[in-house]
Amino acid sequence: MKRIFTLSAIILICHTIQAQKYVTKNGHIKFFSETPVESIEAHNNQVNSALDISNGNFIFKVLIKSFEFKKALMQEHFNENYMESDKIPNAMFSGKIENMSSINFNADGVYDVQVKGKLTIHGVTKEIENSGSFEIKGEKIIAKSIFHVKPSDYDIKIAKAVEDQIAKSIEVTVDITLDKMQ
Amino acid sequence: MKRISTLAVFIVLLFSLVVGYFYFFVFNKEHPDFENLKPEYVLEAAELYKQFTSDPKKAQLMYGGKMIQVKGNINTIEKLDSLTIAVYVFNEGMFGNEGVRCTFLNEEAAMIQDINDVQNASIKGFCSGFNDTDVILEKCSVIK
Repeated sequence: MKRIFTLSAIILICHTIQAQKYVTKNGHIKFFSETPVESIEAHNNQVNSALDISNGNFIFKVLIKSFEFKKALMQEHFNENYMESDKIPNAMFSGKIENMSSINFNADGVYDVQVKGKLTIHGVTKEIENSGSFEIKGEKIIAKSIFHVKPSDYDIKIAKAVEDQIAKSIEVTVDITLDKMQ
Repeated sequence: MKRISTLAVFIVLLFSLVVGYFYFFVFNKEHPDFENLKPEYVLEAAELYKQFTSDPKKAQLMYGGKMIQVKGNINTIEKLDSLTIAVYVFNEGMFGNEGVRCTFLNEEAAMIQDINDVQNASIKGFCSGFNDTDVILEKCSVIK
């Protein structure tokens, strides 16, 4: 009897821990560069992301080769010359939601979030702090944020010939729908 | 005078051809025709996953950015908004299934409703790489 009770408690604890995690393998990230010469946009629908609501840990990881550009030549230059995606295939963010206590994950609604953590692009890691939102919709969390990234901060070298075509600060839009792990 | 005019016309024509070539075939070149591209490698999905998990750097250099054809038992078909994804599952990680994920081209996706439509078929796609959880193939099509 005691053994059955212990086993049941372990199963219940494991299930509860599992239920604290929200995940997706197809989040969306877009980046946008605007200059008087050219506007450049790329989309990635293969973003891997996880949120643990027991401690606020939030992570997303993205394959550089999954960014799609309208122009094939631009995609080629992005991968081969700027991001060197054969050597450094992924970019990632690993951090924490700072205001977990102000979010009720059991009540549908839109909540402001503050996130702090490490952003790694092109093998270079920087501490960032940003705001965004969580929309709670039943067992889904729609995480959104817009922030800016300077290629120069991540050792991304833009050729002089195309310097005027790429913004000094790139707008990154994160739109990730996470599902509760069953 | 006539010779100079002919030469001038020839130079202008040649210049136009060069500019035209660069404009259409270099600067504005189209994305590859993924559906009709031949695969550079054909292997079991399990073998592809094993290579990426055991030596990610070597596998990335070998398969990253290439057309790969895989075969094996597909475990599930996911339909997410506009995406249709076939999944070969080889591991259970902290955040769910891990394996090889194949996202189909839109034209292919329209013909795939469930696992019966792709069972026993091979899948060809562009290998984006390994994100420490899954090997990702995109622009996929079914090879029956």
